[in-house]
Amino acid sequence: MYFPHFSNFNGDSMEKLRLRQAQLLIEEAGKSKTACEKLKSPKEGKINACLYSEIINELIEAEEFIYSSRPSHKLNEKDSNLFCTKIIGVRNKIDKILADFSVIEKESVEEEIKKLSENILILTTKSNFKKSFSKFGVDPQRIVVAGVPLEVEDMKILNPKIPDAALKGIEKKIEHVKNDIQRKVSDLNLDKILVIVETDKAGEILAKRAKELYNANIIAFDNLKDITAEEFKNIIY
Amino acid sequence: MECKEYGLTRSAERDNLNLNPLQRGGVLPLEAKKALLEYADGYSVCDYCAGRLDEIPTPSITGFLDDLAKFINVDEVRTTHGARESKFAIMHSLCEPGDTVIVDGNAHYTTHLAAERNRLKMIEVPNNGHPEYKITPEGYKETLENAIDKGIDVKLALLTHVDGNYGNLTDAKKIGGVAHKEGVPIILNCAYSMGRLPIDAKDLNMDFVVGSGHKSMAASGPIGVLGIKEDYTDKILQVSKRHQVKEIEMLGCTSRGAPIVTLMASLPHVAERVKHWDEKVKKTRNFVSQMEEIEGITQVGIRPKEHDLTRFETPVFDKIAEKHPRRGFFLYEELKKRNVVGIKRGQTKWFKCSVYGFSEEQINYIADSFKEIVEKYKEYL
Ligand SMILES: Cc1ncc(COP(=O)(O)O)c(C=O)c1O
Repeated sequence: MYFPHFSNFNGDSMEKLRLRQAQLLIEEAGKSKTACEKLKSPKEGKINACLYSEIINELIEAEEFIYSSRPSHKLNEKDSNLFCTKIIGVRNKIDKILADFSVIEKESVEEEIKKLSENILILTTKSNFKKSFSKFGVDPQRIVVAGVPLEVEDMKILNPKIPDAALKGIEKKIEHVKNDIQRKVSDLNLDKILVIVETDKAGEILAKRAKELYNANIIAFDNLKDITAEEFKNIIY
Repeated sequence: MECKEYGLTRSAERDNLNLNPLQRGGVLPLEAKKALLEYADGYSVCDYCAGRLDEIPTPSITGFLDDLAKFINVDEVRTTHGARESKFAIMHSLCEPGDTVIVDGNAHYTTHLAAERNRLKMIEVPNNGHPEYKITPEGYKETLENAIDKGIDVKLALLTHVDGNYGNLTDAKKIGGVAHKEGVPIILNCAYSMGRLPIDAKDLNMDFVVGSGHKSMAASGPIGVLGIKEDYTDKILQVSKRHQVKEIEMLGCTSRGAPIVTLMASLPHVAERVKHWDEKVKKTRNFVSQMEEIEGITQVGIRPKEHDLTRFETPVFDKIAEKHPRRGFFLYEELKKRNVVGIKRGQTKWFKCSVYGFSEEQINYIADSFKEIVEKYKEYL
């Protein structure tokens, strides 16, 4: 993904980031897997056909390494990381399919959300929302609350009567939020920004600017406090 | 009935570096492999067909053909079953049995067969012989003018853009001009060029360009491209009187399913790769210079290379073969041991090959393999 406003994101550092991300993913996968997993007899279940097709596509992507490494099929450290990340991704999806047939334990929704949100920075408008997303399993570090819009002129849309003096303070806050976003994306190797807001004016304005500035994906709900963990998982999926 | 084991695995491609020029440009990129799985079934693209393959909206064959026409700069484009079928269709609609066509001396056998099947006479423009085997605009002009002087009504001309024997790139623009000066419509056979290097039919003075999806456009075969200049679209794409939406030369519909969707899925990849043709040529030249470090190996055809298909004369391997217990098979077997394939078994006097699509590292490995083999048998020299 491309962040047009992150001046330090040239091709090279992007490459490094991807590599680091792959390494983190592999470390994470290492932590969560038990050495020997007991497989149970399958129970009735439903094939997640969509997931199945994703698995096939990801295996085709991984197959490219076979061709690029011909004839020895040896991979250097960088490519090993990228190749194994793909394979681990496939393994996680296979696990999900097996869990749907009770062959292995289903992960808790919170665990799933934690994994799914590993590479995402969530941008929202209220601390309350941050609290509920954290409860669903998102690492709080990966959430930024923008109590202000991302451009100072947007504040005038929200509050046309705002005195100019107050705008100075808002400008400072905006700078702080933007720095926070940039720092987190960079430190935590995040590759996607997701704006999750309510369909109110503040939400709409934040979403529009974040799309412009960060090419963020937008999700808006009428009432965020009513959503369940399961629904939340599906929206970030 | 009990069927035999047909041997339908192709691990050869996963394990080896295949130098056969025929194979290099048809390798599917990722997107095409995915599309292949989605559309593997027979009439998979036909769910939303209202009678015309080229107008199918989902998947957007119609949108794809618009893009393809822009990609090669023609007024109208169709997909066929191959470059040969495209050539056949043009000859069939423009000529009558007994008519004469002019073709270059490096033309592919499928050009000859397309003419034969249409019962056409052929006049050939000779190449300039060893070691270049070049087709020149002057030579083309001379042969065409001589024919016309003899009162022959030349109905159609064909030029092979890049031939399959020497990988020589012809001066299409000039030769297109030569044909037009005599009022003869001309086809450019781009089987070895469309999808590898940029093609601009109008700039090249061509009335028709034909391409091969499986040869140079990263598609599963069989599929070809037929690009047509406006002046000829009505004639070539004439519809049936009885089945009024069906185009006769296309026999209604041409390649469906896997061939067309892979060609479609590959177009963005192919459009991007032609922009880097210079780098590909540079890699080939580098390969040639590494190969020519071996005494007794010489590249023939135009020098320096302007295309990846390369022909080498290799007396050094022929000499080794004379004394080697495996005779002419030694080269193939030694290469195979090093996971390099694609040179014909038993062939040692000369061979054709291509390193198109391989990395610098892989190209060096291939050149080193040849060097190693010569070194191994140096006592036979
Ligand atoms: C110069 C040339 N023209 C045409 C063809 C045939 O192409 P297709 O298989 O698409 O008919 C080839 C294939 O080897 C070729 O080299």
